Formats: sequence, C-alpha cells, structure tokens
Amino acid sequence: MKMIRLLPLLTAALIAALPAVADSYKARPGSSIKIAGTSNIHDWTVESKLIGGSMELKGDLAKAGKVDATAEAKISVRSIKSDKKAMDDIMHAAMKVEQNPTVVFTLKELTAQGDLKFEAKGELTLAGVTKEVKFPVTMEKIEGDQLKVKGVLDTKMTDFGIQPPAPNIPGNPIKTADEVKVTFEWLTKKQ
Amino acid sequence: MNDEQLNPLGLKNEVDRRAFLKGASVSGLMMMMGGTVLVPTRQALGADAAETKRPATPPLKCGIIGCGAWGRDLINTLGQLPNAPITAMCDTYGAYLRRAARSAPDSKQYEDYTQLLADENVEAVFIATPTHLHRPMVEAALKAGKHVYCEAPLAQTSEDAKAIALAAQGATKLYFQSGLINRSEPQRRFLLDFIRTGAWGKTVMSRLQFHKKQSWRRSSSSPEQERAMNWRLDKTTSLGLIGELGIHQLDMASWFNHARPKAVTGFGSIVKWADGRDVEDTVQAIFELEDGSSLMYDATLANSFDADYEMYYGTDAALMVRESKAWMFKEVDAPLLGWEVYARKDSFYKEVGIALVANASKPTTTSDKPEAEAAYTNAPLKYALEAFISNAFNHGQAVKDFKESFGEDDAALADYLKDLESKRLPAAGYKEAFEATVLVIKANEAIQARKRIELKPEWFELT
Repeated sequence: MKMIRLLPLLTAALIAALPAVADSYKARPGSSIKIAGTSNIHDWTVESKLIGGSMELKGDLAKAGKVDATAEAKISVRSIKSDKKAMDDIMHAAMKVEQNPTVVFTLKELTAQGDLKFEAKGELTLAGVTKEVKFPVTMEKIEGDQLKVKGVLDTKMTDFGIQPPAPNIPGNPIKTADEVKVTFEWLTKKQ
Repeated sequence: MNDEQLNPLGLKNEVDRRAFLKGASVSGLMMMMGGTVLVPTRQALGADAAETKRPATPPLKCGIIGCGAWGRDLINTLGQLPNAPITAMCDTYGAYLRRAARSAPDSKQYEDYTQLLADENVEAVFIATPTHLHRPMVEAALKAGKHVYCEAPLAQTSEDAKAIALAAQGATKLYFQSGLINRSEPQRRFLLDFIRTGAWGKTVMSRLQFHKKQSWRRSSSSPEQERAMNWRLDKTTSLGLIGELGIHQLDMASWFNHARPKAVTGFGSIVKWADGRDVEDTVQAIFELEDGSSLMYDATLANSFDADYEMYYGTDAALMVRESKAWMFKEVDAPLLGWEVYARKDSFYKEVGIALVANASKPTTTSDKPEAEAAYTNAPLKYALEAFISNAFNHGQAVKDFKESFGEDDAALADYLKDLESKRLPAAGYKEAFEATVLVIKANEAIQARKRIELKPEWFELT
C-alpha cells in the first residue's frame, strides 16, 4: 500500500532525473511579418505571410530565466510586398534581392520573463549584413500543438547597409525615413 | 506614337489613319465638337509612375507558338523587354518560322509545338495560333508546367473556351494571362477609375466602331497554306470581325460599363470582299444591358472613315476614347466637377472636349492640337507583356518560396496565391477572357442568324 502511494512520487523523480527532451516546432502557414516606415509623402507598410524555419524549446517556458532554445526563421525577400508593384521593385532592389534573397534570424539567447513573455537576442541577416538584435517576444499556445511567437523590432535600414529608397519621380522626389518597425507573428507547430 | 506602334486592338495601321486623323479628322472633329482629353497623371497612377525606371524582375525564358503576323509582334515586343529572352519558337509553316527567327536568332526552332513544350529551356509559352487551335495547346502547355499567355479570343467555341479557362483555374501553380491587352494599359485603367466616379451620370448608351478598308486576306504560293493562313475568312474556324477584333473593344465596354449585356441582336453581310469567303466583311450588333442602356458595335473592312474608337454617353457627359486618349464632353446642365475648369480643352467642330490628360490640371488652354502629351506612350501590347513576364515570374517565385517555407500544402498555397493576386501588375486573366470570349461567340451567332439572343448567365459560369 505504501509502495502504491509512493509510486507517483518515484515516477516524477525519475522523469526529473532524465535529460529534458526538446520540443521541435516547424513553421506553418498563418504567419505574417509587417515592416512599417514613413516618407515625406506618406507612411508605408510592406508585408509577407511567409516565415519559414524551425525552433526547439526545452524546459518550462512559464518559468523566468534563460530558456534552452534554438531557432532559425527565414523570409524570402521577394515575398515581402506592398500594394504597389513599383514600390516592391524598388524595395527589393534596395535589399539587394539578387545577391541576398533571404532574410534570416538566428536565435542566440532567449530569456523568459514569466507569463510567456521573453526577450530574444540573435543575429539578423539582411541584405548581406548580419547584425545582433534584441527585441521582446511573447508566445501563445494554440490548439493543435501550435505555438505563435509574436514580436516587435525597431531598427534602421542603414544598420544593414540599405540606403532608404529615394525614387526620383520628376516633380515629386520621395525621401524615405531610415527607421522602420518590424512586427511579426510566427506560427509554428509541434513536430 | 511612332509608325511601328500598334493601335488599341494591337493591329498595325495599314491605312494612313494617323495622317487622316491629324490632318482632318481629329482636329476637324475637335473643332466641330469640343471635348476634354482624359489622360492620367503619373501622380494619379500612384507609385506605378516609377514603372519606367523600376528594376525588372529576373528573366523568364519565353517560347512562342505561332509565328504569323501577331506572333512576330509578340516576339518583337518581347525583344524590347530586358527580362524576356526568347529561347524557342514554333510554327508549322517554315517561312513564318524562318522570318520570326531573324528577330530571335538564338532561339531554338520547332515545327511541332509538343517539342517546344518539352523544352526545359522554356518557362513561359505564348500561344498566337489561330483561335480554333488554342485549346489543345493551352492544355498541353499547362500540363507541361509552363506559364501561359493565350491570345484572345480564347477559343472559337464556348466549350473550348470553358475548357481552357478551367484548365487555367486548375493550374494554381502556374500563371495564365489572356491577350486582352487593353486591360494592362495604364491610361485605360485611369479612365476606368474616372468612369467609376460617375462623372458621366446615368449611362445612356455606348457605341464602338472598327473601320478599316482592307481585305483581311493573306496570300501564299501554296493553296493549302493559303487556306490555313486565311482561317479568319472561314466560318468554321473564325469568329468573324466581332470575335477576332471586336472582343477587345467589347471587353473594354463591359469593363467600363461594369455590366454584362443581357441580350444581343446582330446583322452582317459581305458588301465589298466577295472573294469566296463566307465571313462577313461588315457587321453590326446591338447589346441590351440590364440598366436599360444599349451598346452598339459596328465593324467593316469596306470603309476606313473614322477608324476605331469608343463613345460612352451618359446623362451628364459623353466620353470619347481614341487609342490611349480620351475626352469628356459635358452637358450644359451637368454638375461642375471642379477640376475641369483648369483642364486642357480641345475643340471638336461645335463642341469643346475636356482633355483627360497628364497635364489636365494645368491652366486652361484651347488648342487645335488634340494629340496631347500622354504620360504613357507605349503600345498596350508592351504593357501587357511586361505584366505577363513580371506576374509569371513572381507567381513562380511565390510557389517556390511557399514550398521552401512550409513544404507541400496545396490548399494553403492556393490561399496564399489568391492573396497575392491583388499585388500583380494589371492584366486580363482567364475569367475576363472567358467572359469576353463567350460574349463574342454569342454575338457572332446572332450576326450569323440575324436574330436576337438572350445571354443566359449560366453560359458565363465556370463550373
């Protein structure tokens, strides 16, 4: 009888003693990334619904502290579009799409702050330039073993060697601001 | 417009129409009537104003099937684009093939289109063969994984047109565009926006015409080849003037009127070219619209007067569209729009037309030179082909990107591609082409039978 009572405790102790198994998540449709900026004529937004890549998470995400995590997210530059074809072409050229067709974020450090809020540090490679970036993210568990990662990053085009586009339209020169706000929702599914 | 450019129907001006218009017709008409020229400002067209300087998409390897006069126009226009290398061409007639090859000497030449479709060095196919031959070629091209540009009309029968449209609809991973080239032209798109503002009031009627004195006949030393070349003169293979030419103007009218006709009555006869053909050289058709307005179309190969243009009559104003230019003629009791006070005016006999042109917001001037400077001066075909190359490349790229991001998921891919449709360069797809093709097939039937045909909605459904 005593043994039966102790069994759950023993089982729990045994599981705790085993090395934690990482949960693998893979990108799936339902993601979006928006890049917003401004210019002397109007505010602008470009967007993509393709965020590929994968993520591995180990341990209790709700507990504050460093999370054992790896992640790599990829976005095709050509999939980033506005409502104006001409603006897309100018933007893709500015991002040197021919030489660097993909934007890559590689997670280096994930720190949990409780309530599924985190700070992510990693390397962002854009237009052939890699920069370390840091930004807040939140995670949301969705039915069907899905996890949605949301985040916002403020950055500058010139940080990545991109000159803010300035299309020379006669009589209406356009000047684009350097600062941009990147907002994303990355939907992943447990494998 | 230079001498090499095409008219809105994509045809070269064989008759010296331009001189006629310049010397007599246009300025005379302008003097007689008076209208406002409708031409877009680059600003009005938004960011697309930068189109002439924007970087082109990467190259898309092109194959042409059908190297007759229209196929060669496609080849020559593609040759003006920086990203449309012609890697292959095909025609069953050796003389056409050799002639076309001179414009693309590095291309591979085929006499059998199935061999061109098997060529891995071809990513996109342009089908410029006679209308009645389109269906097997489009179906095979899509099956071979090629993006397809198919000339309008899509087919000679409703059954074939529907088969083509359904094949295009089913090939979600490929891009399909039809040869309704005016849908890509920036100035016509500008006009559409203008029309949608309701500036002409309630629609009263529309009138479209195509007048050109020419036989439409082609000659060859081989009787068999000559028969094949003159497929447009044979009722068993041709949709006649209203189908082979009228489809472009009727498509524009449906677009501008935002309505499909509910009935059509037609007439036709051979009045000039009684040379053994059985296709009429002069036709008229009257379309009835749901709103009570009517649309009249007439075409002749027996007289050139006034060439081709479209008139739209509303209770507040009339709109005249000639090639890429347009003028508005206001009724005296029409409400003041405001901007027209500052717009350029042209005189047409006893009327004054308000020029819908790039310089429309400049101070008023009265001019007897109606050929106002337009912001966009390329032929409609060039805009259509630019759109095709760009859209086909981006479509293919989107499919590739999606697969790389998420793997195979056809349903989600279809949703993703649907979402991207609004981001394409403007062009007519399979839906617009199917609709326009069925319309002219039925109009041609009405002309043949000299009767009224009610247009049933189910004829236009793609199921």
